Amino acid sequence: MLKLISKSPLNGMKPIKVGSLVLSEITSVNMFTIQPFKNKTKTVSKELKKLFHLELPGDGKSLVAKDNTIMWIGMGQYLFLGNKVESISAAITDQSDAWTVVELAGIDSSDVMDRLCPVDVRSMEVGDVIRSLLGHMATIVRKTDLGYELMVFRSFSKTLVHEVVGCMKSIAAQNKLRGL
Amino acid sequence: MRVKEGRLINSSAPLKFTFDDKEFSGYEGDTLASALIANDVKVIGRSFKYHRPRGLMTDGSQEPNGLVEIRDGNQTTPNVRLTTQELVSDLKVYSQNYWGTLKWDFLELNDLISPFLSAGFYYKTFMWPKKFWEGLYEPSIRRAAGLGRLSMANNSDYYEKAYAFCDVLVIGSGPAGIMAALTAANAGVQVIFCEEDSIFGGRLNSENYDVDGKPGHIWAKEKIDQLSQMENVRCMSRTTVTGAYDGGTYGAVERISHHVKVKDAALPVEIFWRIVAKGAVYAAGSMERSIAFQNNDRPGVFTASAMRGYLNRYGVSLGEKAVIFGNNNDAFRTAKDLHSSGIEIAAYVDSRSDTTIQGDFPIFKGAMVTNVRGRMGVKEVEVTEANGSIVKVETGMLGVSGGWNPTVHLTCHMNGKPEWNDQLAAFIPVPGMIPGLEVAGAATGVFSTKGCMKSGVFRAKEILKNLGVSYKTTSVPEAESDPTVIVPLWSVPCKGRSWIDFQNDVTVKDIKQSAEENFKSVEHMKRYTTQGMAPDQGKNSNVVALAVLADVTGRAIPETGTTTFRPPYTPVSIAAMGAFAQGAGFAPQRFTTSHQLSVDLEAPMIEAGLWYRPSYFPKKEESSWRESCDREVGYVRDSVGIVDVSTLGKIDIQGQDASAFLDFVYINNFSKLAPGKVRYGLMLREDGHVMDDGTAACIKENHYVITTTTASAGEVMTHLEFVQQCLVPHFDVTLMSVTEQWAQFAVAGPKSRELINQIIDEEINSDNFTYMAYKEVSIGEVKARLFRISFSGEHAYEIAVPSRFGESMFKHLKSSAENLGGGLYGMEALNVLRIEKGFITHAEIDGRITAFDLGMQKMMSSKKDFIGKTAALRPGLIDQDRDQLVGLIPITAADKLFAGSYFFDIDASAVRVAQQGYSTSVACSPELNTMIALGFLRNGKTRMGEKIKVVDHLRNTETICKVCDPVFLDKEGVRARA
Repeated sequence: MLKLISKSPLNGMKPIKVGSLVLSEITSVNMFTIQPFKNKTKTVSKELKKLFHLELPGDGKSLVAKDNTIMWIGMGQYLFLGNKVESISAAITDQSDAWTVVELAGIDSSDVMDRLCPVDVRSMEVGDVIRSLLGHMATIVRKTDLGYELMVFRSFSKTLVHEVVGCMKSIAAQNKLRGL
Repeated sequence: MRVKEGRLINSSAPLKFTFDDKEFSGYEGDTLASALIANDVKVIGRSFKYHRPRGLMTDGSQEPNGLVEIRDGNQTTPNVRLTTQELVSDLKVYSQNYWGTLKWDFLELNDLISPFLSAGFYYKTFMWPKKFWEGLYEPSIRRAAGLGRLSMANNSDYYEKAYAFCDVLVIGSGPAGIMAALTAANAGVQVIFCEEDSIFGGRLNSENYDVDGKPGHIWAKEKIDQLSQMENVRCMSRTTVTGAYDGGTYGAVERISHHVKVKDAALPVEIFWRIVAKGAVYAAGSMERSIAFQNNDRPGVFTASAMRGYLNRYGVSLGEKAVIFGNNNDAFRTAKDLHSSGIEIAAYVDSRSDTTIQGDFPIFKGAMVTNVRGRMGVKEVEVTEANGSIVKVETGMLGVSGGWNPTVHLTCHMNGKPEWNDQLAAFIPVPGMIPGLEVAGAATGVFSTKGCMKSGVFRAKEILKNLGVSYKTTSVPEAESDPTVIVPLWSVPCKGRSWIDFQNDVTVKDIKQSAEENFKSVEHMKRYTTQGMAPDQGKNSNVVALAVLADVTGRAIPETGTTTFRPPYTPVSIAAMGAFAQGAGFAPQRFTTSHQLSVDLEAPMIEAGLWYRPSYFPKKEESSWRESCDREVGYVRDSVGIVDVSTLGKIDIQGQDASAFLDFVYINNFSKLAPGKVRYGLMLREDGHVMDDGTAACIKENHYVITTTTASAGEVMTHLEFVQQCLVPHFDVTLMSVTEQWAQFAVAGPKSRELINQIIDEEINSDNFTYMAYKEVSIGEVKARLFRISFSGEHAYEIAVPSRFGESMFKHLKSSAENLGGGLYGMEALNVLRIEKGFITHAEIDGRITAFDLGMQKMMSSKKDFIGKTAALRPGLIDQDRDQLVGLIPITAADKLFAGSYFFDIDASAVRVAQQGYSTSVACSPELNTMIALGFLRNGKTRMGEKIKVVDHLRNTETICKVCDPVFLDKEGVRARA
């Protein structure tokens, strides 16, 4: 029997540290989009509550319960990370391999985001989600305790790292110049 | 010379630099301008048109003359202002705009023939003889034109772009700006405080006023220290706000490392900011203007405020003796400051006869400066007294003040026009020119320090009120509150030339001539004379120029009006605006899971949108791509070939109305597509032309996955979302892109089934998995999707695995194919295979093509409605005379064909009006051993077998071809169904 080898989008990239900033790949999560069928939003919320103690979050929000996270990602679209989701009143699509997920952490992470994302990320609270651009790439941004979780389509992985690390280096150099 | 220790100079930190390769020294805290003055350098550049020697005129970013190149190699940066560039150790500085040397400029010849070079010279002179334009005039003008040089190498500097957001943006940090920032900051809102200079404080750093009982610059520093400690305030020095745009957005350039000697490669030179502010206080101050008089452009003629600024801030002066000429009380401050520092005031010339000023130096009231002598630097100033007698005064420098112009620029960026104020003899902004922006201090015509501070507080409160934020009372400290006393004086009558626009060499005479030749509108005058069009955008010249124009046309200044101030306020490097776009930063790159393996196999990668795909996989013994391509085509035709097709768009469609939705977006019928089956579909735009093609597979009831072309994946997704949200919102259907979830590979060729059976756990055969079938299969623990579809005409499959297994899958497919005598193929072979089979891509469906043109009109279902149906059936789109898809084979097998060639009747001449269509795709067919082409031929379906002429006008080729069916092989589709 053929044994296929799994490879994460960034191939298990080790965390990249520049100054106070760290960029790490987040792997090994199941990821499903949940799109409630017509007039089934409340039903889906109830079903999720029963299954995972989670409900559909409001626009621009995410919710976490145990190992599961659900985030709003657009009109009638939610992304579920964690356990496998099936048999609810929604279209479920496996996206576990579709996205590259990284966390940009550190006290200067907002400075990096200022350079890449045209949205006021500094006004985001932990758990807030936006869909925006990261450079020229469509992205999902979620505010975390330590910084930002960034998601781009898997094929953009190399550009994602290139652009974020470039800005991390720049911020470190600017801090050094300012004696910080 | 350095007269005294400048208040903002660190005299314990001397720095060396070179100007035109000659070594000079200055101190930390100097600008290049102050350091050159300290070294008695008078001539710093040549004027644009007449190449007259020029010296520094101002001490700010409005400087018209002091433009230089700094650094060298590929980091050469032209047109840097000496007045804003901080002194850096070992900086190399080069003067600009001469042919020869700065001292001996061949092009100064222009000055000698200046009577022939007046306004409109180009328009009148280069009209004849006509043929001289390209050969002589244009090259000569181009050689002489332009300021500064580019290195012509790729700039290795790094630039950045960034976004910022705040409640209140404060622009400028003089007394008004500081008070506005304090007021806003104390209210607790988010404040961004921008200052163009390297240090905050604005004019307070250059003046001798006391504020709150202490020197102004000390007071400013204390307040800035206080502000920079506050968490809600972001102080940005070296940051020029360059433009005001819609929605409270402001452009700003921050200079990060122009002042750094050896910079980290990661350190940007500049950052272009887009600042979005809920409200803004514009406190950009004002700029002193000159007066036009004969030879007022001699090196050593400064604005009066610049002269005292250089002295107070940097302790430098261009000589020990000065003459001051003004029409207002502010000019007298320069005389007082210079005099108290031991510089002799050889003459104080005031055009007002009734002024009450007094001093311990010669004062000429009601007098004017009528000429300046000294080609390479002021030597003598000619003063004409009220009674007409002429006094000649020896001096090395002359300070001029014609009054102050509020810096209204930013307020005009959204097409607002400022208003003339007679008392101030200046244009001032009117409220509401930029929504959400309040103008404070000198920028709005309040010139006293106390007045500026009050204005700053008041305007900040206005903004806070608008934001609904409560604020505390901010007390305004004690400071000078002298009134503005001015009698307008724009130009002094003279026989010679008196300069208005120093940067573009426009004189009073040019403005007069413009009016005489009926270019009387201020906008016409600007364009005829080029006044105000140089990098300083008329900062020094606009008001004087229009005052002179008003005078010569007999109109009042308000009636004459101003020209338009447009962004940017100061020039912005293209590199800053285009930051992140250098090299690979130009566009993001999308890589398939097999990318690295393909690169390792030395496959040249070609771009398909943002994707990179292998062109072909070369073997060592092959000498050209054709050999590789032919070999790869052979794999598919004879054994089995593998190609990564992950880049095709994949869209998951679910819901009870999913099949109805597909029926609505495709021209053919999908509602009867059974689970486990795949169908080819064509999608039209609303206008009836073909948008895209692809396949739809029924995964299970109410669940489909469709494919799009690589090029149109985004467009189709957008289209489908539009249809779902706007045209059929009542449908229960969901759409989700799964392009990136699956790594998908085509396995094509007579041995493809054999290969698939080696890979998957279950066995497929001709009975259980027929042509256009779909099923989920297992590869160990991995669930894969298998489709029996073909884009080559051969017996073929596409197999999709979750992307994490893509690379591994590609490796297995490659080795399995090689074991069967096949291998990998790239885009070149893929293209040959599909052309031989007459399959279309976006080379054919380029947006102008209908289903009818493709011969697919029968696919258009008559039993249902679908997008584009009505429009596609318009008479013009089903006209027999339309260009229709055909195949072409050269009569002589060795003849070449090129895509984009035009078709002509065999006897017709190859001219536009006779064209009969065009070729879209060509290939060298190994199967037919000749080149073949697809193309659209007028009424092509009825012309099979006819000979036509195929002409490529660019490559100058003409090939006689036979028209044939676009399907060159296996017309019955036997191979694909095997």
